Amino acid sequence: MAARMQVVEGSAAVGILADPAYDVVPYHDRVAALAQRLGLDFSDILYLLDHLPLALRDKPHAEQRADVARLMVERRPNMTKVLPGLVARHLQGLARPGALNLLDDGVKPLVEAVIAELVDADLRSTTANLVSRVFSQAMGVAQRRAMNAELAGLRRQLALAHPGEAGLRQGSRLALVVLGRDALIGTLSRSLHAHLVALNGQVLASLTMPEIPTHTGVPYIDRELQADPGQVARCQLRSMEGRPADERQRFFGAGPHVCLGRPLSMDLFQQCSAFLATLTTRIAIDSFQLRKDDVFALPAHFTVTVSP
Amino acid sequence: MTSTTRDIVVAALHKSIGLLNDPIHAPQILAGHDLEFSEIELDSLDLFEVIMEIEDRMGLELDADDVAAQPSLHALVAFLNAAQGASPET
Repeated sequence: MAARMQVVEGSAAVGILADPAYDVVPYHDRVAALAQRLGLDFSDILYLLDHLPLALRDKPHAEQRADVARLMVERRPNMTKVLPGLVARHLQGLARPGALNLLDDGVKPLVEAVIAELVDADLRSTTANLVSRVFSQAMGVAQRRAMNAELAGLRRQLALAHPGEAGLRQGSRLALVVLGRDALIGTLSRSLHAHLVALNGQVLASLTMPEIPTHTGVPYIDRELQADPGQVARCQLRSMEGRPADERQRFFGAGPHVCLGRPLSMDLFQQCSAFLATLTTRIAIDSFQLRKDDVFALPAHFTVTVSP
Repeated sequence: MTSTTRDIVVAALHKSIGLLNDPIHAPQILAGHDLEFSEIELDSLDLFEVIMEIEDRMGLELDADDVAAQPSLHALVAFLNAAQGASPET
């Protein structure tokens, strides 16, 4: 059945996210049907969708979500300890005069280090360029094959870091890598870009970066009306951009699927804001452009020039 | 003989939905005429099957949205040639 799409913004979007009449889109069923039709092995994509709270309903959702929440609580003391150092290490380029690829040599390695700490695994040898597009309806078949291979690699690396671990917990670690990476890269890059625009060449310490993100890397969340499968509401989280801080908290969603990564994201933004407030350099934006992506909003490139 | 992009697309559509078995459209296709995709039944799974066939034959990575946005056979052929960096076929 073809999906019928209704686009909703602002408080209406928040209302639908919190409304039990709506639930997540059955991504698993779509991918399973595609794999069967094409005769392809998408088993690692299907494994992910079986462990991604944002793709699950009812009891499986409750069980997986509870485990992701437990894992995040267990890791929080360590994250609190390491975040200031990770932020200082990866954003130190903003303190040194010269050209800086802020995406590839700043934000991206920072987020990847944060995620690696969170799931307690060294993921440097893995590739995860496509995995967050697991919700994409636009992706062709060749990229889906590549995404399946990326997910297989991530699962192998997580299994190496946590031998013998299976079931919910292995799935929780994979879910955090997939959902956390591009959402954080997009949210931090876009908010940092907006902050640099607002600074307009003044020294970084002259204006505090808001601790609540001003922009989101997750532009929308889809929900399906349970009583009418195929009727989808696209809840535009990006419609909260430019709103007061309490409304921007809705970047993290609402209702039973509200983002479990909110506390970590807030901690990361707080640390970034505090670090930038210590710098007396000035930043000129050389390039910033969003990549072509129908799921997340994150830049293809973000380069700056740092001057004293 | 080397297949043209048009041959590849027609073969993909035939493999997916049996286009060349269609008594109305097959003669037009074989005569080199255009085909509006709105005239044929192509659901989302058919579309992905067509995409996979084209990707495999042409060595391209395609977005389903880009392919679905092409309204006709000639438009899709032009899009694929552009994606491959080839000159438009005459």
